[in-house]
Amino acid sequence: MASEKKVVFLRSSDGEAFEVSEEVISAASVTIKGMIDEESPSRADTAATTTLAIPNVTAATLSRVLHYVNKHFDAAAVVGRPDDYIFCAPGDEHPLARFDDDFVDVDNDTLIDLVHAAEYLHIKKLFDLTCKAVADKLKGRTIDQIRETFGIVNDYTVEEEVEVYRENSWAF
Amino acid sequence: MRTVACIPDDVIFNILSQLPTKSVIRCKSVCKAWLTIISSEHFIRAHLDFSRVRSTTLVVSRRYMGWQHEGMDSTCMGFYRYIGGSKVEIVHSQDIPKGIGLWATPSHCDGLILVSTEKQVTVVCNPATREFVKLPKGSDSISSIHKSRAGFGFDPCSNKYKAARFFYETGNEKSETVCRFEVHTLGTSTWRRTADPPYPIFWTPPAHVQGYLYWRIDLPPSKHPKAFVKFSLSEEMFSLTPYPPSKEAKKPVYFIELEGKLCCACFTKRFEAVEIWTWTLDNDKSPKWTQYCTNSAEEHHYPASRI
Repeated sequence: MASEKKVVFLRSSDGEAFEVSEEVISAASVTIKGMIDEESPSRADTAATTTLAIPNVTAATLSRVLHYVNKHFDAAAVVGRPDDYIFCAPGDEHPLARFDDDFVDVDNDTLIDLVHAAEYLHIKKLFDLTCKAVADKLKGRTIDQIRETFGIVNDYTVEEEVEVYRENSWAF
Repeated sequence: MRTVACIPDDVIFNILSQLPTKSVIRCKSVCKAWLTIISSEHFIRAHLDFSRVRSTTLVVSRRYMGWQHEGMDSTCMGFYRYIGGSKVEIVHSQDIPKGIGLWATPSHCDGLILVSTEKQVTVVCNPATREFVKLPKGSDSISSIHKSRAGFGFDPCSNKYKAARFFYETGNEKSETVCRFEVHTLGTSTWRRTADPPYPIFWTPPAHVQGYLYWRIDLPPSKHPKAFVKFSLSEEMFSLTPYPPSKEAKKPVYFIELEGKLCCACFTKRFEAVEIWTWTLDNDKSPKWTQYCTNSAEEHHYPASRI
């Protein structure tokens, strides 16, 4: 019996619904796979499509995430080795390296939103990729700039800060 | 960048673990929470895993003073990153004002470098973090030929780095020398004696491959078992690994770790060629030697490992 490809709808925090193949999103997102598995007993007999609420992710971010997921899944389908593409580490030489570079070449707010979405949806390689992009932006910054970026209050006393600096002065 | 006061620790953890070492060390100054994350063993492992993706080749050099009262003395350890061709760039230069004696090929594991010297001093250096630790002194060796060479590796069972070294003692008969063996777990203050090796060990530096150290055996050809001594860093026990089954080659000369496998070089009988063999674990049960390549020995090629 040839079964039609199942789809699910994901509803963003601002109410927009996105259609995505169940197979694709299950392979990519541990969180959504869990949601689908929970739903499945009640879905078995019905033709109704499932809509899952993704309350932590906006439409703008969710559409980017789905673009990433679909792109990686398609590339994996071509060679029949999903592990190589969906789960490849950032920095690896692979055909999507260029796509990944462009994907994270976005403004800082968008990038941070993607980090949060990848973490919430549990898409490990997107999480690593976006964290790496944040790390790359941090490389050249001073300690004060990093604190400002992350909203961190310096909790060292002057003496402690001097001591930590002294121990690691070669790195500055 | 938007300030995000509520970034969870595991996001910070992932971001920091993808920074180069120097940036990570700087980030210790940001706040106490970051210092705690960066100093944790969990973080160091994660950072190492990301670093493996961009592994580099290091060249370790020595600078030495002339003859001191006990021989040549090394006073500086230089770490250079290999760029390509004949180009290197300096990573770190470690001064050793008091000198540590001359050393042979260093052992390495996970970017940590162990150097043991003729003065029986053993040091471990992490060129990425500039840490330099002198290990406690091991037992004296009476053999002037077999200056003790320490091996170094990671024991996955105890999650500890261990150094292991042989030394020679006088046996029951005064003319007899006996090969002994001892292990040091990094972070402890002593060397522990193990059972004696099954055969006396030759001075060339050992190879470390996935929790095992391989040493050459010091016996004349007539008595030689045609095997390497293999020491398990987890069980701290010895076993033997046979020589490659080469028809042409004489005994193996150099051996090292190559892409997670034991690799050795054997010259053919008349030194026309050198064969490179790797010891492959097919299904954990039947490891076997595979010939990797044969090179003309007009120029001498030795296998070199990546750090």
